[in-house]
Amino acid sequence: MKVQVVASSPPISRGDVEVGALLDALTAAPRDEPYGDAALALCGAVARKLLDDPRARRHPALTALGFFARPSELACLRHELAATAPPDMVRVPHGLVFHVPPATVDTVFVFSWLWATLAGNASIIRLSSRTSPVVTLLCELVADALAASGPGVAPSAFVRYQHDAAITAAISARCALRVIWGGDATIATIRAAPLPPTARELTFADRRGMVALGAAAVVALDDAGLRALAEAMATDLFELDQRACSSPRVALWLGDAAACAAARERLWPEVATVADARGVRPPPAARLAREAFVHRAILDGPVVGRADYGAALTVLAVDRLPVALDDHPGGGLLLEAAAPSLDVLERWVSRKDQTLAHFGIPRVELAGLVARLAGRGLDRVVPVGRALAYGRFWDGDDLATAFVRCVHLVGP
Amino acid sequence: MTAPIDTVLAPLLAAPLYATPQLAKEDALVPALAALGAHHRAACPAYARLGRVLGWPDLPTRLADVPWLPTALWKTHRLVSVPESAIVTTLTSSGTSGQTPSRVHLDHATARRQAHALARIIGHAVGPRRLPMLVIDSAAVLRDRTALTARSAGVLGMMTHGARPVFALDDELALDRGAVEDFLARYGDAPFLIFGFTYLVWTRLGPRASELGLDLSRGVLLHTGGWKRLEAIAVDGSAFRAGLAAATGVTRCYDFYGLTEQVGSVLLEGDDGLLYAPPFADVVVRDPITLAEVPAGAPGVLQLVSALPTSYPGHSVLTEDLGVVEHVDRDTCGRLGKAIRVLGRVPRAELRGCSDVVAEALSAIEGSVR
Repeated sequence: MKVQVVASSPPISRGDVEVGALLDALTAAPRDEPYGDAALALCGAVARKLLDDPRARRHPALTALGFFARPSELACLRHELAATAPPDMVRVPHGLVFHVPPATVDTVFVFSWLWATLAGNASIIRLSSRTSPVVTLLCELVADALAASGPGVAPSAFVRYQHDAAITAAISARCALRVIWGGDATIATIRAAPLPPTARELTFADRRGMVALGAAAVVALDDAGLRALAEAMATDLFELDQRACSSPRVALWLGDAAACAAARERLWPEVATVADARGVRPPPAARLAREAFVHRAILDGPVVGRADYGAALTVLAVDRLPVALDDHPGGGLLLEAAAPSLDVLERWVSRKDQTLAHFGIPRVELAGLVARLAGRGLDRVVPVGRALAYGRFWDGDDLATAFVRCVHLVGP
Repeated sequence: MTAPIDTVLAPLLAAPLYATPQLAKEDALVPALAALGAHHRAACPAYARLGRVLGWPDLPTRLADVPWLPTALWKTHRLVSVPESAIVTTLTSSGTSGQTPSRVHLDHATARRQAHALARIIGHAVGPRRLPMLVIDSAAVLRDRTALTARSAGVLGMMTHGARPVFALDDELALDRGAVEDFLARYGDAPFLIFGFTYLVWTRLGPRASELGLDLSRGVLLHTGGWKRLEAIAVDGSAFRAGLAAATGVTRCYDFYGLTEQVGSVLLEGDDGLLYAPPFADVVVRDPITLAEVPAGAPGVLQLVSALPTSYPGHSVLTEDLGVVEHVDRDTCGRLGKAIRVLGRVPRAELRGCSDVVAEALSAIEGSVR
């Protein structure tokens, strides 16, 4: 059983490699301490490449990733973790982490690998067989950084193989932590491969996003403020063709009916203008899928109206929530409701709901909603424009500590 | 409801094929489509709800204003404009694994109208008599009703337009030499009908006929199913015609294009290699992003209209196929109206065609044999 190694730490060679030998090399190598100098240097080097390489700079998602992992940010994180560590606790790595990133979001595999590497773990990353120019570029940049990395960093191997259950099983049987970045079908497939009893698993299932907007605040914006909000909204909506879990699919206006009507008439045309300026054009298949969804939603659900804002955005008004979103095709389609307050969300938010992007809503109201939901849903509540931004806290986990074990150490 | 609709549709169904200039054609067709829209709004609550929410015009006056439904809707929703008891046939398309089939429900009047329309179009190509028919397919396709239903429906539908059908392929889709030679000995000296899916005709009939020196020169070939698999091996319409003529002697061949949602109003190839719609049907080409109508010469997504269906609201559908109107009323092959070329499926859309399904099934069979 061979896998194709696309990028790796020396001395692991690239090309077709026997998976057993590769796992031997990854597990036998010395490990790093969490947030050690060598790991920080390697991750910082990757970040610098993402921020400096002219090809990478053409992709906002790569810049965002580089910004997230820039050396000053990592130093801050190390300091904060050290400062908050109890005196009787010592952090250690898990060992070998098996990453299964999604085929649909190009940058997640590097995000996942960065956290594992910072925490001192060895990594084996299964790249999707469906590649893209961004993935190829990322592999090249990571491979360069790995080749130049000093001793003392736990090794990594980025591999490709055809969907082969035996290889997945072989890797799973040797790993200490398995990380599956969805979707639900992938999680179900990979879970067929048993883990050692002591191993842990992190799964990131299919989730969904929404946006809540204070109508009065939108009405009160001056032209520059409106444009800024529209830019932020367009980023959330159109990045990744609205196919990311965090991409908003439902927009909830908060306020009285008149304010909601006025606010929507201001915002959506402005979003369309921004989309036009950015050259957002849905792929034809997605455009047709949008039409099929619209017609089905009218027949099945509470849709009471349709408005199109250019070719990029269709907004369907619904007169009640929740709405079925399972076949949502992405590519610029929002379902829109209005309500007097956030309370409406308490009734229909579920574990599937991951991200609430917001504008014009006081923090105390958002905090109240989170407290009252009490874990029933919503793991991210972030300002409009940051719905798809990487962060330390994701799907209810603290990624800074999810990749480490905590040893209880009491001594004289 | 049916009687007044039939009064509106009757002149269209009787009109000469391909003989009317485009504007005059639309003058007759658009009011019929508007009447069908009103009929379906009155008879199909789901259709009426779509019209209310989407703000459709009550009576469209231009062809491009006729509201459409996405063909994908027939995969998930039961859309009918007649009582359950009136449904006599349910057509199913693309029933291979992994795909949800479309289901189209016909009453007597719609089924009869569609059969009559198809007979007229086929008659235009092969003449008024029912001819002996060579089917470039396997009889197995009719035995197993659970698989490849689009293909079997196509074969079954066409068999009613020929006489004494003979299947030219065996169960492994290889040419049945004995059956074909026997057919040619009996009927090969007079005009006969050949029907098959484009991909099967090219891959299964052409090469073997050439090897065996079969003379099919009196045959009139009707074929359908799409070009995607053949384009992958660089075979287009003119290469198909030339290659097939060299291999089999067939010089009269007609491609046609149709939808399960609009059986009967197929687009038939003319001698210029382009497709033409009958007076009771037409196409509108739409920009794949804005969905606005595009002018002749510009490719886009095909909307198909047909004045035939009264039992389900399928008189105007937006397909997932790309095409182009090459020219209008230019009379390059004795036909007026829009000269249409189908360019294949919108990339990454769900697979729906017959021939591609056949080719996939074939590669699966061949793969398992190896």
